[in-house]
Amino acid sequence: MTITEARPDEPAAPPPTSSHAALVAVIAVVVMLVAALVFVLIGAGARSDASSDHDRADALAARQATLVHQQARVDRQRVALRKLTDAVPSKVGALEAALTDVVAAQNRFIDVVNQASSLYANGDHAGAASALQGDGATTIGQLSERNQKVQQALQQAQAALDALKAAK
Amino acid sequence: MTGTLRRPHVIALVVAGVLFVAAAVFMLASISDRDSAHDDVVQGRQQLAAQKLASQDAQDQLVAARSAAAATTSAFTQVVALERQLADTMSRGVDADRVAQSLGASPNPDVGSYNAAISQANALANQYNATIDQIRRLIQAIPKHPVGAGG
Repeated sequence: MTITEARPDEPAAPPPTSSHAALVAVIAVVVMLVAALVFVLIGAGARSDASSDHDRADALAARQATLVHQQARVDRQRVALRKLTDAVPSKVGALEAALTDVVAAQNRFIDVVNQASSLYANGDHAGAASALQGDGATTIGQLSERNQKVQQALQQAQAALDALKAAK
Repeated sequence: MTGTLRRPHVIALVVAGVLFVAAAVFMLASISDRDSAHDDVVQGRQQLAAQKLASQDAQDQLVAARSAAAATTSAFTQVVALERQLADTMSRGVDADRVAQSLGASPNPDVGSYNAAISQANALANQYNATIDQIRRLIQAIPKHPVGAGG
């Protein structure tokens, strides 16, 4: 048997866990830094895409706002045009009613004239003159008044038509 | 295990960890922002498409209103011209009636003048009856489009 000689000057071997931990730490640091770099690159790309999309969304919103504005203008034009278009038949209708009133008054006057003619033909000259002085004067007054209304209605119908022509 | 790590290793791990977390947060926020912006674009496109349809519809309605206005103008220009003619004839008829009434109401009427005034009034009445017939035909020919329809 031999006794192995002790060598006190030789340093003791370091515990293996220390170097392993350091190695794991270095690897973890590297992995985290690489991952962080990848995350930053992905994030930057996403941010760039988001910026482009924000610009696109803004452009779309601006275009939509322009269209809304245009539509409002078109709607106002249409409403105004319809109002003018509807005014023409309405004013012409009023004119026709006024003309009909004149015709009715004219017919009443003709009735008076016919009545006076009958009286005159039967020798009642005073009665004929009286009919024309009374009913005749009344119907002539109505005719003149209604004729004035026709002139007013005619001016209004013409004005409505002119306004519609100008709006087209 | 950390007990065996040296201080520089620990600092490096902490710094790398902070950077990792910060980068992850940055990435997630950016992706969320991108998704949100993308949704905005999709929504904007849909709204724009709907608005284009609405604008086109409004434009079509304006074209229809212009067409109705043109038809109304065309139809009623002739009617109003005839009615002006009718009103003029009627004015002359009223004048003739007034003359006839004045002559006939006299105690000693001039029968010849009275009859002449009545004849003139009758002639004018025939004229405006003819004009009324023309107007009636024109009005009947006017298409009954719903000018008051719509907004």
